[in-house]
Amino acid sequence: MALYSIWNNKARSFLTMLGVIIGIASVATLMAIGEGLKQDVSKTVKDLGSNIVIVLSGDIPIGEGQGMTSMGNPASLISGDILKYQDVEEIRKIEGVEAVSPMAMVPGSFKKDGKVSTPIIAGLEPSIRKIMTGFKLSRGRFIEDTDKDKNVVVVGDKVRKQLFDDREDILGEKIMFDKTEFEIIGQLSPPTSSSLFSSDFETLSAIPFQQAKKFTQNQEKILRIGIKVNDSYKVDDIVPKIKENMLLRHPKEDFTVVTQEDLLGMLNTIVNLLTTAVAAIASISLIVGGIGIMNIMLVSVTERTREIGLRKAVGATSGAILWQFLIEAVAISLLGGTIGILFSFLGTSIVAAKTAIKPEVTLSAILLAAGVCIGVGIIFGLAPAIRAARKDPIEALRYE
Amino acid sequence: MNLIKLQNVSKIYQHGKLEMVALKDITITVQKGQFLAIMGPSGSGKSTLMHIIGLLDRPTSGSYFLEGKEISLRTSDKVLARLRQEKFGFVFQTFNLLPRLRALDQVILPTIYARAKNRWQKAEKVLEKVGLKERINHCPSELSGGEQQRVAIARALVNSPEIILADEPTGNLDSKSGEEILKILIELNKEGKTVILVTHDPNLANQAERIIKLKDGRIV
Ligand SMILES: Nc1ncnc2c1ncn2[C@@H]1O[C@H](COP(=O)(O)OP(=O)(O)OP(=O)(O)O)[C@@H](O)[C@H]1O
Ligand SMILES: [Mg+2]
Repeated sequence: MALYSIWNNKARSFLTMLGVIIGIASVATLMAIGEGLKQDVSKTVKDLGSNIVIVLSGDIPIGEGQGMTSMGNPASLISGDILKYQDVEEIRKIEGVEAVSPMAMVPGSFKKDGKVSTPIIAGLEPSIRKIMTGFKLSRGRFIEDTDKDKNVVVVGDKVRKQLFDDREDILGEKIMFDKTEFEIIGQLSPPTSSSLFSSDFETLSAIPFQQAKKFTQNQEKILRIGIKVNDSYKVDDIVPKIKENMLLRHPKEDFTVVTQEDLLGMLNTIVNLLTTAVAAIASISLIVGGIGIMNIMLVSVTERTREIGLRKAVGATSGAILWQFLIEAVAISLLGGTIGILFSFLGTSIVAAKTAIKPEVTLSAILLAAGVCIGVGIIFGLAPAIRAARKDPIEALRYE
Repeated sequence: MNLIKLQNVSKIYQHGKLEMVALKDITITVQKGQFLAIMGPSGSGKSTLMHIIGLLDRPTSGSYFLEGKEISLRTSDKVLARLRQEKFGFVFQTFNLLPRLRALDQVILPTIYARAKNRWQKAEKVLEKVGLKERINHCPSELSGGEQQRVAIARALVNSPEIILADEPTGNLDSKSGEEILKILIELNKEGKTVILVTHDPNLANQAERIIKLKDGRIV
């Protein structure tokens, strides 16, 4: 019965629902993107392997979200003189630390036959593979201790594509960095799933840390120190020791020690914050939608005065009339929400196609949307429904 | 026992300081199974009287007894609604069908409010009774005036009420359709239903066993 009158006024009902449609579509889409981001974040952090501690340069309050994934962030390049190789060596001595690697950034490009590629060039030590387990090689080998003084490079897939077009195997090729020739000894596998953050592996190229130094005026430019804690130790026990050790050389505490959990938490906090902010904005749209529904229901009550009178004449109680109009308002709202959800599927599939994020419209998001729609319908449908229920049957029947 | 008893019923409409007396000291009794016609010029209060009898309106003063029980201002909306379902069937001059609803659904409507069982069968049965078996899937716009009014009668009958209140049911119909409607009402009366019919047409009124004439809100 309720759907009947919605159907009879298709155009009007659609316009009424627009606010709800937009509200629900945007909330659902953004929640889905948020969900996708979260999955991405946790996947990225898992790429690190387990029992990982990272020392960041700069005193970053946890929660500001400086993951190691933002290695290419120019802001962090500025602060590249804080961490020293000595720190790496001292941390290596701490009991329970299994592997340590500096992560240095080298600005610049690789060139080959006039072609240019500008990857993120990182100066790393072989032990990095114990820390960032996400490094997978498709060909060749990784940097080894014996490569210390050699101009060798492990390249990501982006460099291969940009400098060698379609050639798959580029091992042994020479590419130029500045005026130095580098030999390609390994190729990184393209990321298995195109995750937003793991795309770093695609744009990354690794050279031995000791070589990297040469291109940064012998400054070490260490942005991060990656640490793998032995699995038989608890990360939480080792972190204070690392901090203590660092403080010996950095009394001003110009560094930050974070664990994998911290990173995950930080990133999730950001994603949640974004989602909440967006939900707040979208809820304004829902209020507008609700007012639209209220307006249309008030019009409908006036238009259908005769119908209300007739219904009362054939035995409807005021309560039954109230329910009828309330259900109608909820139905409009729910229908709008359903259309909104459909739009969000459309929106998320566009996002999925155009970006590396894999948004996911979860069941809980759909249920939440349904709940919100019912709420909006009830809140904004109540006043019109009460007005309908209060109509005097005689007034209603005489109404022309 | 009297089925309906009105005692000194008045209905006064207030328009600011101006009082409009629609009914003045009406006292009538209606026996079960009676066929009562109410006549009178326009504005004499016929519809007002019907609405009060049918519990759609409440008198300003006076008392109303239905089957010996007083209906007062304290009677709740719920009870009134239930009595309207069980005791009364309304037929209006303007049919008052809901647009875009097929005949069957129009007739089912009162059974929903009465929470009746076998709604479908009941609706089909009364539609058959008024001769609209072939038309149950038609919307009002696809029906003639006479047919629409018969749908309205079926709707009035579906909850098997004791009293049929017909307020100028033939007012919008040609004489042939009007007579058909009257025939149905007479038939219903023969089956034992109490029928109260408002009409301007003396020929129709004369078929009733009793005529009440109203003028300026009084019985004359
Ligand atoms: N809501 C109202 N407010 C004020 N006056 C009203 C109201 N309803 C009815 N009246 C007045 O009460 C009087 C009786 O009206 P009623 O409709 O009962 O007459 P009626 O006999 O049915 O007339 P008709 O033959 O035209 O249908 C009329 O003068 C009418 O104007
Ligand atoms: Mg009238």
